[in-house]
Amino acid sequence: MRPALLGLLLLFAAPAWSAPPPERIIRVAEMHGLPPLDPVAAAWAKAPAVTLQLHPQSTVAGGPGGATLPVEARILRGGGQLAVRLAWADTGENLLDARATDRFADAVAVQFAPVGATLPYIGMGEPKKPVRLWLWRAGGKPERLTATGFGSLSKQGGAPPEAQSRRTAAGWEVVLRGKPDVPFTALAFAAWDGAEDGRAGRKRLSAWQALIKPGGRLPAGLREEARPGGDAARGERLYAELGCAACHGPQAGLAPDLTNAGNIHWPGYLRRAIREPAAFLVPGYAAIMPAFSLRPEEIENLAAYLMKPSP
Amino acid sequence: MSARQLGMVIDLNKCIGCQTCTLACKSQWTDRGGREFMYWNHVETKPGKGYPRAWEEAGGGWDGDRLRPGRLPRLAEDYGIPADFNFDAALFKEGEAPLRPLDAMQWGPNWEEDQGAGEFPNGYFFYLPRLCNHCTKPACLAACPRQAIYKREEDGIVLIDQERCRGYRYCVAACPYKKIYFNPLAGKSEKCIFCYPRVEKGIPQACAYQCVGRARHVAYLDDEDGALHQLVKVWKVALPLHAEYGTQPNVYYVPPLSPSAFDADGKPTGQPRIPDDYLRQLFGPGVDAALATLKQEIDKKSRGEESPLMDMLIAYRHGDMFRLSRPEGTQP
Repeated sequence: MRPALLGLLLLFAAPAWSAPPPERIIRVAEMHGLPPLDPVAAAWAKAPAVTLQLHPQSTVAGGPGGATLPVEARILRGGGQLAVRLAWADTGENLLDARATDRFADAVAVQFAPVGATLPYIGMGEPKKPVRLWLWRAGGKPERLTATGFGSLSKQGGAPPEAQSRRTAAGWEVVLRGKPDVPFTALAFAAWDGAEDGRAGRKRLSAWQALIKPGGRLPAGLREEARPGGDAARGERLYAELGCAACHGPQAGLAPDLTNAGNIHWPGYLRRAIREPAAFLVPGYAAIMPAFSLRPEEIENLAAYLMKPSP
Repeated sequence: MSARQLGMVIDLNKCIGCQTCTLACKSQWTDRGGREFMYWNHVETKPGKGYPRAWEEAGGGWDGDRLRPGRLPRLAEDYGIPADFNFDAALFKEGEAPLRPLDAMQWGPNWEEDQGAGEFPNGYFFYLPRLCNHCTKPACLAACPRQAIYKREEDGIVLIDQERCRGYRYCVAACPYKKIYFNPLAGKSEKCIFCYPRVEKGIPQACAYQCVGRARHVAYLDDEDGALHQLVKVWKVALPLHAEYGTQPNVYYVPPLSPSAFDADGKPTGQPRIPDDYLRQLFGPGVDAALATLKQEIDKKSRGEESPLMDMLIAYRHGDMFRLSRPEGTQP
């Protein structure tokens, strides 16, 4: 089918939820046997490549600022294991160094969202919605971790993932392979650059990406999460009327900066956060946001405005 | 702030820079496993850049209620690599090879020993033993995004939970005394533990107990008969180091007296060899009164009069310097 015709069909036939932003879906290729650990193995050609934008962390203090980082992701599944191949540009090689006290290693992490009614908070989960993680640090051993919010990262039992990396002139190619210990619906990625003292929240991160089989659709459980929301222009006016930026502006410091919220959040999270702000607080911020008495369409409009693509 | 605070007073007039405290600490806690370069306790010569190099210019501490940015010391340039020496060639082979480090050293924990400042005949220096201050308002604790650092209720000792630490080093940057060290082998940060396993058994810290000069007193701040309360609160002769960093340190120093400077004709000027201004930079404006009190009490003692302050600082009985048991009837 020609793309133009497909687009026309979707425009008329598809309900809104079937068209989340394209970068929020990542397709896995199935294979017989274990996927390769070697980043240059031929089998990787079978996995569709998607380029994700990793955005500088700006929700809590200590983010790196600067530009977004494009990361190419490919995923293979087989033999009961999942393998993720990530490739990104990086000018200097920064390894864990047992003879340095002031340097940090390049690193990358895969974050898994366990199956649930909603996605966990993108910033390392929530108290009742843990995330699972694989972490690779250049020159170190990969780790299997779990977290329930910023600052809660801890070791998770079980076999750690295996990893193999390749340093090229352009940057890193890393494969992480293991058995996710819980059924999961989505993945997210983060990268740290040793050259800018990357560690903890000094990182770049992606939004959740729903993991979908070839030819598959967004799982039913994520459709409400992905539903885009209302009228962004009206949402923008309402955002100004309510004075949201007084706390959520770039330098306000009283609440997470929402300037580029749409880069890392899904509409479902934003709706929940507006409706019930105290249900989950980003660690480090006080419960100062009132639950505004907003009509459902106003919440939709605000969510649509916040999801706007970053400039 | 903890329910109780254990503290230390170090009398700089009694410190002879012998490094017995340094070695007592090192051999107990930091002689292995990536800690070789670390000195939880060390003695530096002042004036000088100290250890790690230029720590007073490395930032950290508080600016009101905001953390001031700080930088991470470098292993070779600021701490100094723990070099191996040519023991075999120098000591066990024939020839004249002198004992030398095998690696080119750039710095070390006692690099500027006895250098000090000033021109002959007015050169001056003194020793400054340094360890974690187990601060009342620890910047390290506030800087950790993982709440891996905690201050014990029962004695105010500040510790890093090694299970929680992930080696981010925000604490290292935040400590204005640069007394947290990153262990690059373990990938975690470590610091002076105020010998808490000893303290819990009523045994003083190794650095204090081993001090040959009887320069270190240990007591709880609320123990009114203890040296901390007496020297800090009553006599006001023990002062915190760089109080302006805002962390409210709990190691206090009796500032150093010095002999008179000489004028161009070689006559004593009556001014102390160590400039008052320099001491004010380190110990704050209270240093003038502290030195005056010390002089006055020394004079009393030399006239054969009673001076409870001098008796306490002289420390006739070693055991009197350490008051680790809790006062009767108090609970932590």
